[in-house]
Amino acid sequence: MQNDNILEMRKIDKNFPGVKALNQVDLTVKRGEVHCLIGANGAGKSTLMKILSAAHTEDGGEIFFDGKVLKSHRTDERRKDGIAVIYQELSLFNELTVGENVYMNNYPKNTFKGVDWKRLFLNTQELADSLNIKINAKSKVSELNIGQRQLTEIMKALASNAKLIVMDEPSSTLSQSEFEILVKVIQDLKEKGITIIYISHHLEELFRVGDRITVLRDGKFVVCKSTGEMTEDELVEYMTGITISQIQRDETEIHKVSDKKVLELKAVSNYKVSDINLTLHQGEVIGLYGLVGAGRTEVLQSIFGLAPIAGGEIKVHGQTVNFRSPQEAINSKIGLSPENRKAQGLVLMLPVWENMSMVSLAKFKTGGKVNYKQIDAECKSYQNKLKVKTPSVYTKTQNLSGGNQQKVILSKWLMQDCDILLLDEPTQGIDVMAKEEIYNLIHDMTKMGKSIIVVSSELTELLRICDNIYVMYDGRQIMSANKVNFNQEQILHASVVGRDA
Amino acid sequence: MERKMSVNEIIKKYNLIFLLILFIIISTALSPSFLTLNNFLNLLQQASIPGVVALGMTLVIILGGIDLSVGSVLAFAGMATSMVVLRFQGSMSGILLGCLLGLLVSAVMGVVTGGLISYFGLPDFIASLAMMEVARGAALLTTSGNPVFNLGDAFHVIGGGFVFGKLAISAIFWVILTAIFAFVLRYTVFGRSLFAIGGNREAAMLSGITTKRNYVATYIICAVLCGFSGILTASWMSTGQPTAGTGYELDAIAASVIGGASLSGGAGSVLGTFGGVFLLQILTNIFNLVGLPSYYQRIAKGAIIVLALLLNRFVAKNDNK
Repeated sequence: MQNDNILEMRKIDKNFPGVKALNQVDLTVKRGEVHCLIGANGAGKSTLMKILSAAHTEDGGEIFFDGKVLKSHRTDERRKDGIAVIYQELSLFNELTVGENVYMNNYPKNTFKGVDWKRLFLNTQELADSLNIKINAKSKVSELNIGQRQLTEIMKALASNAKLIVMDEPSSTLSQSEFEILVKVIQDLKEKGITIIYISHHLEELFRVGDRITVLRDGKFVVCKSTGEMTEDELVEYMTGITISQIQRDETEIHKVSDKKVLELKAVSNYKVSDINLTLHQGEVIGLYGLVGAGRTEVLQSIFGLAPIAGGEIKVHGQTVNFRSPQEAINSKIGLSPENRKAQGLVLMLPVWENMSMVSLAKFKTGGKVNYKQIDAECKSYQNKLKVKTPSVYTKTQNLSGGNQQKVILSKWLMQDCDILLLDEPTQGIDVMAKEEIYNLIHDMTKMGKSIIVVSSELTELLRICDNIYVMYDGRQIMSANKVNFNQEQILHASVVGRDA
Repeated sequence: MERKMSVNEIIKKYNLIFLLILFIIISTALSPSFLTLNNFLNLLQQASIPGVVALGMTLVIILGGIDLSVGSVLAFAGMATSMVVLRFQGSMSGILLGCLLGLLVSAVMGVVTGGLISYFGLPDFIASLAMMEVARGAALLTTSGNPVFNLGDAFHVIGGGFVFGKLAISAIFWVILTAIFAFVLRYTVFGRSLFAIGGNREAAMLSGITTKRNYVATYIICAVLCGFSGILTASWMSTGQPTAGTGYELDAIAASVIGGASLSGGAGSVLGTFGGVFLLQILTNIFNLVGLPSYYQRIAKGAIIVLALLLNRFVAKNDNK
């Protein structure tokens, strides 16, 4: 009897330092179906797909594809087997034509072993026509809109004879009309017998395009059901679990937040977000939750003088401000720990002390000269206070682990004596132990009278450290919740469907 | 900042000095007249003008930039100064005015190059390449390509004069300027900001460093140092030469890199560059002393650049283990 499962991933395990990213995860995909994979941020979807494409190697488990066991861990072998993954960040060559991109590494050859340009463009055009895609094979990718680029990726997958196409968040950057085109193409692909794994945060999409849904949570398989057997509410339940009671929180200690307002945003809008209202009190931790791209980082940008406000008003300590640069924000004692630690937060090639003192260097001047003894002493004291694990403060910052690098960034702003700290994904990519330490640091800082805004994609983290959580969706602020009545399911639901339940 | 250095660190930090010593030994063996005070002072004098140019280049390279216009700025500033000195027939006030004008025009050129890069987003290479052409054209235009002679004895003292017998005044300038900028890089907020900007411009900006302003300031400093070298050149030769400084940009880059600067920014030292310029000058010197044609020099120069960098890379690799 022929097995009608094109893909079976069985009991997949994957460990990252300090984290069990995948724990005995099963994924079974039938031939010719659109199989949706869903889970909150960090549930393990991407890791699982990276294991499928061999970008990561599993620590345990087996993968059966198209009737055979996949043994080789080379990405090119997987592609040859017929597995194509379209990542969120498309991998196209902008200055080349659609045809060249589609047949990259796979050019049709003429009798002289040169590239057969005529056939290349002809084949591409035929491929586009067969999917009713309106793209000129000879136009450059840089001339295409995002939707057309996505379709180019799909054509590229087909040109390499993919049997299974994984689409990772294909809709996140698409407009509504572009999404409609994508839906049609997916239906056409299905008719051609191509199997699709569709990853998305947007629940309503799954019900439109999907046949079956697999839910992951915290690196574990939760359920696999056909879309007809599930409601949106059930799905949210599967995604979140009933973990609210499991959150370790010091319930006895009710955190005293003062009445003193240190930062107010009134109907603030900028290039990405609109009508943001937020009040930060001294000693308070506010969380901004939402899906990637919801506009959380952009709110911080306006507070820190990186994105001019198009409307509304920002008040710091009761005074209306209009920062046009980070320097001005820093002068008002605001600090930002940016989203991308390595690319934006640190000068990796410079030693720890230099990164720690980067903002506050001017304060270490005596007699017009930078005083290295003072810097040395202060950096070492912060190294001890924050338990930065580094051989010395002279070590290059690139040699530190993620958690310790984050501590260097926090030291930097503490040395400048900032009152308001904006932390964008402060625990991204760092291990559990270091996360704990960062949470404790945030707690300690509030005791020192600092006020903090945390942007995070991990809801459990925000539930644990925040006094108030604001949920954002598509540039809007759609919900707020106080620590007294946090409801994980409600917050998650709001962030996914875009309205307060 | 006390701490023990590992062997690797010592080699990395002082590899240039090892190279210099090696060269001095080889040179001494090849020619008995190499290791004499006269020859040493002679070397210092010859290296001083390219040395001041390389100093400016090093600052720009630490910042993560590159300035191809150094030689042309040198020439144009030299011409501007020479024209004024000639006009006032070598009088003191004429010399003063001429030097001020020379420094001023080079500062303006620095503003333009730096401004194009930081405020208009042109790549460093392109902006300074354009300035290289414009400034050279302007230098040639002042006299339709003719040199300016008869600048007088008083003017000649600045770049061609000696004290204590054979110690060139221009060499003293070079040493003092190197010391000043070693101090600036180590002990001023501005100096440290260059390393931050060169290491990661975005992180520097997000740390409140005025990246654009500091960028322009550095290009101005570099241009003014080149302008000063232009004055030294004109004075030394007693001639305003519109073709002066041709090819200096590559020598300056080579010296900076030999001295430990990284072309991707964030690393470099003016003391290293001092050594780098000196090393290249020794090379020229020994070929002259031995009497080999200058063609060999260029081959050797290329080999030295590669050698110095490989040594750095080798040490860095061991460092990361």
